[in-house]
Amino acid sequence: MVFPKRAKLILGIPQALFYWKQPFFWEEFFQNLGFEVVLSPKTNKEIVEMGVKIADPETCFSVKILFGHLLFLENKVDLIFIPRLKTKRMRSQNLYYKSQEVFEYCPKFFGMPDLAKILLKTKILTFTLDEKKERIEKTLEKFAKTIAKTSKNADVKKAIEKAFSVTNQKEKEAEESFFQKAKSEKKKIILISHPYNLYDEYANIGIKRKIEGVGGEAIFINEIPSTSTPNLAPRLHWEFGEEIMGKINTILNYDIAGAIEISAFLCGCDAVLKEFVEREFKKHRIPFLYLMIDEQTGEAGIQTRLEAFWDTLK
Amino acid sequence: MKYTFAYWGNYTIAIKTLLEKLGIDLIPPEKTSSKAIEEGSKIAPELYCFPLKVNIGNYLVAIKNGAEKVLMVENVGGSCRQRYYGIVQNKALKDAGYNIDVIVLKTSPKEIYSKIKEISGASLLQIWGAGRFAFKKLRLIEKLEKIANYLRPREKERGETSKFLRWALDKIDKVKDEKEFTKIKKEILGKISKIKIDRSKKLPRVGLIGEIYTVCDESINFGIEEKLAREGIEVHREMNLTYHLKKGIFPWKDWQIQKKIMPYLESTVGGHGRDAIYEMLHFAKEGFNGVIQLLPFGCMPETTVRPILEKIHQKTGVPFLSLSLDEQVAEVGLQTRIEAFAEVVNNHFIKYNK
Amino acid sequence: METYLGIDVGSISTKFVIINEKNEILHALYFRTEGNPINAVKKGLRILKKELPKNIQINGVGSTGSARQLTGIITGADIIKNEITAHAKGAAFFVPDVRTVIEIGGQDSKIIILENGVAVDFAMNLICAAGTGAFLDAQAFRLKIPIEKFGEIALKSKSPTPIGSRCTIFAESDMIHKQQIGHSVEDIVAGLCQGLVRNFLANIAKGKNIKSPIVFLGGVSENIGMRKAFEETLEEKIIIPKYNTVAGAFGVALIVKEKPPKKTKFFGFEVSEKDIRCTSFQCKGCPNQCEVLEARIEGEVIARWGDRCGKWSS
Repeated sequence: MVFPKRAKLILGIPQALFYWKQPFFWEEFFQNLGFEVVLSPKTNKEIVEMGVKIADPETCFSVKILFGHLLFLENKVDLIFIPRLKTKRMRSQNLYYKSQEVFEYCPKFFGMPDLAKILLKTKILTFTLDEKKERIEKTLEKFAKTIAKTSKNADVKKAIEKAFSVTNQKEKEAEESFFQKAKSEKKKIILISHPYNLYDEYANIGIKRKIEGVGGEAIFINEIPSTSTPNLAPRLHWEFGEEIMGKINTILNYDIAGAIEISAFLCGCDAVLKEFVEREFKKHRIPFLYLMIDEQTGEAGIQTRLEAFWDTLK
Repeated sequence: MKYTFAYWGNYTIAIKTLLEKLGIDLIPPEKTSSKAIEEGSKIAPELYCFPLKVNIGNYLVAIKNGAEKVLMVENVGGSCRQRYYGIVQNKALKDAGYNIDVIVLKTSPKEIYSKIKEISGASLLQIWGAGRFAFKKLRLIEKLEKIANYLRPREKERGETSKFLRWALDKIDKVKDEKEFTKIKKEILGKISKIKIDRSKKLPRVGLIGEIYTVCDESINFGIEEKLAREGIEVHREMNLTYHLKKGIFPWKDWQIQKKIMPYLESTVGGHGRDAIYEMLHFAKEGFNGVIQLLPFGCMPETTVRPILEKIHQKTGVPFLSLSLDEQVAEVGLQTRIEAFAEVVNNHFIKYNK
Repeated sequence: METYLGIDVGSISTKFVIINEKNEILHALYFRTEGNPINAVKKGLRILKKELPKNIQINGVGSTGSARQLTGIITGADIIKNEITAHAKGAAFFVPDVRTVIEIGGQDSKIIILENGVAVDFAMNLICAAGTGAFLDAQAFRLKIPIEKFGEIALKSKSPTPIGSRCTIFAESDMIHKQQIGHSVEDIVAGLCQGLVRNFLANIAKGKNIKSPIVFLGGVSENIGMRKAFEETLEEKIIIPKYNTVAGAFGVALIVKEKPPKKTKFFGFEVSEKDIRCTSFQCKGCPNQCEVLEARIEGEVIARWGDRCGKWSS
């Protein structure tokens, strides 16, 4: 790869979509490799508008948001990072499951770097993650060597390790906070969605704050510790559908008051997943609310529906 | 036990033959009607893609006709929602109160073999024979579809080709044994060559690309090939059932495609996303006067590649029209767009061919 | 005097244009279709008969618009053309080097890209009414201001109120909300115009190569607020020709005149006094089960259409 001659290259990372799959990981990884990292800001109105304007009208809201972030970074940085995420092996605390289950990312992730190249003038930095073929550590090592200033093996390895340790730390914290929340006296509501919807407060209209506002305890699905995947549904390979179903299985052992699933408008994976998530909660007579989010979702509308839902809880 | 399956254009005939020859008791699906689409959409998950809803519509009609079980082929891998069709359809039917099972056949030879054996009790030899006969019918159907696209815009008497095609398909549908089929094939190919056409005509050409189900079923795409022919356009379409089957058996076709589209897309995006790019590049290079992409509304692979197709359109100047189909699309609106597109195609033709 | 007649029957409005050999518009009519295209056609013919001088001779008739087929049949038109081609033709007459045509009518809106006076690319909306004249009508009614005043009021605004405008329902609830929190009518009206323009550019004109000169046609082009909103967003001059609302009818008249029939099939103005009916039935001839439309004048079938095979129409 040919880079402009500068002491430190500025690398932009959009805080959207893939970023939330592994928050804090990428900035740590690239900083350790000698990049100056710039994150796009938290999603805001301007970003959403830019994204909606440029993206295909029939693509999902989450991709539209990503495009907004990309346009925000355009011409502000030397390079923009978008990985091509294809598959991932399940793991917890860096330990592989016995099953060696391979999950797929949404197929829209597969073509994201190519779409970005059409959209942007700024150079795209990308690599392919496919754990069907190779473990992530190995892939990252190879990738790091092609872009790092240092060619020393030990330095590259250290950079990767450090990045993983940050992620592991965060995962641990999430798990701890789960056990804290599980003990809470408040009514507990599970929020089911993909990380890029759950952690994007603008996109989900601050659903967590709203639940806390009416006096509830909001638990994100990904805070729940993973168990091996049960036989709840067909194999939902996509967007970690199987993992979500597994976590739902775990949470059913706890005392929860209700469940809310959040879907981005025109999310194809959720069209499949919703059928089985809803069935699981209905089977256990846990009130279930389905919320669709997009650029037109109004603050007032969500508030009304949440309050009405809250009133139906025991 | 009476089985049914989803209607899919003219290929329904071949699928029907295959299952009948296996000795499966069949209630064949009726041609998809707007009523069936409406009914299917009512009980299908709203957010799911259009073909799933149409399939359910087909089942509902067949259930009324006495069907007790549904056979559904699902793709393994190939990231598109089709791979969950059987299971979601099963759930939708059950939720709506129909006590009917959707039997899922995964597209792996081993699984298909064991399932078919279980359902029909057919011997390996019988399966081979049924497959061979069905494939022969399929090849003829596809050949006729191709010839029709050449004849239609040139025919001297309007509607003659389509009328002939309907007659021929009915013949192919009814023939029950292979010997008889060989005779009928000869008769059909003999007669089709007698349709009077204006051979001297050089016509604008349009390539039809996109999602395979919508591209191949004229009951879903409002007979787009006929509509274009009426505007004096010769339609070319690569996508058909054999194309899909071949790709399943010989993976190197995908490698070739990937190599050709590398500057635009470096990975699969599921479904036939890569094929759409490959075909559009091919049509543009061949000097076609337009490309139409058909897709179900919100189709994941096709919407992912659409910005790339638009890029090719801008770069090469080949006129491009993308039509998303779902239960809400009305024929009138489609007609206007096709007529207007035909005008654009003609302008392109005049500019570059005269 | 030798003349040509163009008729454009849309879902909301009906347009009649008569031109002479020099392409001059002798007479133009614009009135509401009121959901009944047959009555609208009759009404137009009746008015023309009354208002035109007696020595007029119609050499050719063309029909366009969403009811072009029906109109063509009941008047005996020589040419039936889609409204995109017709508008391109009309626009290219007024502005010969036009590159972009924006047309927003009652229920649909379109963009046409031209090169050397012919259409090379286009797009139109059909599913949704948002971004069309019907949408503005509904909002004007809600705000209790006459639609004719809409543009004028919009121009008074200093800071337009942002209003979500993808969908009529969304926009309405958002607008009510904005009214409640005290935004002025001017700002809301201007905000609606901007929202409509944004919506048009994001959904219909997406990916289209918009170049100057840009011509704005259709009922909505009467609204100067919309023109201003387009000019501000595109940062280009917008041309609104004199016959902006009847350009489709004018275009189709030009098309007939270019290739005039030896003898017109026009039924004459008298057809407006006759009994015209249009019914439909389902053909059971093949599994297509086409809906066949049938037009009768004084009880006599004059045409059938709508079938795919030509059994009824030829």
